[in-house]
Amino acid sequence: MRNSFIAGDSIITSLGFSTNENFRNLINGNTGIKTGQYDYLYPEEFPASLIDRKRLEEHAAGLGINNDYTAFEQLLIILITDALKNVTVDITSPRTLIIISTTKGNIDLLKNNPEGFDSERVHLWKSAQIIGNYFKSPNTPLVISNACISGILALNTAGRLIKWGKYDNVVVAGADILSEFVVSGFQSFLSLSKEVCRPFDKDRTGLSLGDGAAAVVLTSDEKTAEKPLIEIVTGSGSNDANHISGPSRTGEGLYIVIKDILNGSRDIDFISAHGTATPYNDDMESVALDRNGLNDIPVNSYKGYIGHTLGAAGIIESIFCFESMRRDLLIKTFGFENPGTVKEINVIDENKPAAVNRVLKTASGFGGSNAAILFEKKRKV
Amino acid sequence: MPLFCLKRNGKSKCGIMDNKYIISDYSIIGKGVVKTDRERFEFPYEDDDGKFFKNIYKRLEIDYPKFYKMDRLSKLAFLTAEYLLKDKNLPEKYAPDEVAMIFSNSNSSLDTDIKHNNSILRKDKYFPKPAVFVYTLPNILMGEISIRHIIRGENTFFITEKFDTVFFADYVINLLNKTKHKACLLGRADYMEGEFESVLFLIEQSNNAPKERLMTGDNLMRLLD
Repeated sequence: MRNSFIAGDSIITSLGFSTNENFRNLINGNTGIKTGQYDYLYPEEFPASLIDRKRLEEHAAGLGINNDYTAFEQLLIILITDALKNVTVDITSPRTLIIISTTKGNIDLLKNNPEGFDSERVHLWKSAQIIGNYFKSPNTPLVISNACISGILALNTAGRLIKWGKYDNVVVAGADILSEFVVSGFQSFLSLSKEVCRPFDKDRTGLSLGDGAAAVVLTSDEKTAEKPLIEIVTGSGSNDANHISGPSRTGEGLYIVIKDILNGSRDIDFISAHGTATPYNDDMESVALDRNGLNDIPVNSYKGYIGHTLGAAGIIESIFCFESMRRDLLIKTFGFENPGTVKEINVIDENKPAAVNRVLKTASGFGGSNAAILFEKKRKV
Repeated sequence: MPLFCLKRNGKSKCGIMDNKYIISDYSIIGKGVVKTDRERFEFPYEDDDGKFFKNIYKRLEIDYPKFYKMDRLSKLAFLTAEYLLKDKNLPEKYAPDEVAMIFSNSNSSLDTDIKHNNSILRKDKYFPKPAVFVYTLPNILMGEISIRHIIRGENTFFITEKFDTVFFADYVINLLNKTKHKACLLGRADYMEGEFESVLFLIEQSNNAPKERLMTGDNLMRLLD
């Protein structure tokens, strides 16, 4: 029986350029979502969580990659480099695969391309090839682009490919950068909040968007893995078969994935929900948890800290779960004050120490897609 | 042959790790033609895929108004699924969440992305539409097929330059062997400015199938020719 363990990780968001810096900001209750006039994204003022571009340029320059790569590609390269630091995984080995998770990749090139990047770069497989070439990977990187559940599917696929013996190591990297393309689309859906988003709160009015990127290195080798050992136990996906843009009122798909994974067991310490803070999504999630009898299990959403980071969300939020497991600390849902979901659930409203050994991470997205993944910290033997 | 045992819902399922999965049927839509294992229909194609897709739809004699709201990529995949599944009665054979769907393409949703992008290019002609924006994700087509055929298994959309049939055959076999899924729709659907390809395979378990229909990358590729 092969396992897939976490060997390293890294995050870049508005809250910082490392897992540690990001998580410290979570502990301190800081949000990276700021209201401002971001002309390149939208004509009017709105709240968004944006990566410090100057800092990104400096990091890229440090690696000597500023000119030939788009910001999206730079993020992936920096993250993978950081995640591999102090890890003995050989990314140039045929036994190591790279998986990229993104919804829109270099979509901004459709509109702004002053540097004159090859138009082929708008293709996600091309970005993946560029990343693969940079790291001299002998395997063509896989790309998963499945709306807001991309990150969870990428981690689950990576875990499987290791367990199935196809690879010994997989580097999962996800990124999405806010663009006028995405902001205008969500605005047209009227799904953006006018203030910092408030997951699961009774006064929630919509989601906040964020730039985000993260990488996780997975390995089958216990010795290579980071301590304490954290492994991907299993994962599941399901389609609501209900509506292409609206959440299912019965939470069908999310209900199914949770049931698949837990199979009636309640042996989890907390649930990291999707929690976008749109009225319908959060209600749907409460219904799915209720149907699984998990109303009392502590649940949070990280969206109030860094917004919805789309193709990166599942990966960033999973790393936050790993940090909670490493530190035995539950993180509160930023923006949540008063319960207001159709079914009562146990939303974490203050940071608190707790034994965090088994964590369920869920995601739901456009197209009726739902996914969940179970992480477990191995107790010291 | 190695034995494998799988524990699920408290029950153990054991078997021989053999290629017991077959390509039980497939459908392909190309310019001017729709074909499945048993049927072949020709439709006039004169550089107008809107009309072409409409004719394919009409031949099905179904009433499904949602079809007209779909973007071209979803229409293409939806029609391919319709011809494959119209007489299959999947719901009688499998529970909704026992059917997985794995799709891939090379252009993602780029054709519709360009349409959405055109709607925001100029401030004086700024009109992004939710009905267009929702189709700027490739996995929406799996949502459309799931809704139509009540399929609630796992969906994953991969972006690959070429259809790597060897990888996908292996992935689907493992998915069927090691998860709850009993059948899988494996698809490739691509649409970009009038150029398109679409194929959908139904992969099921069988102990009795000709060698050329065993689920292998080579067999998938052969059916595409």
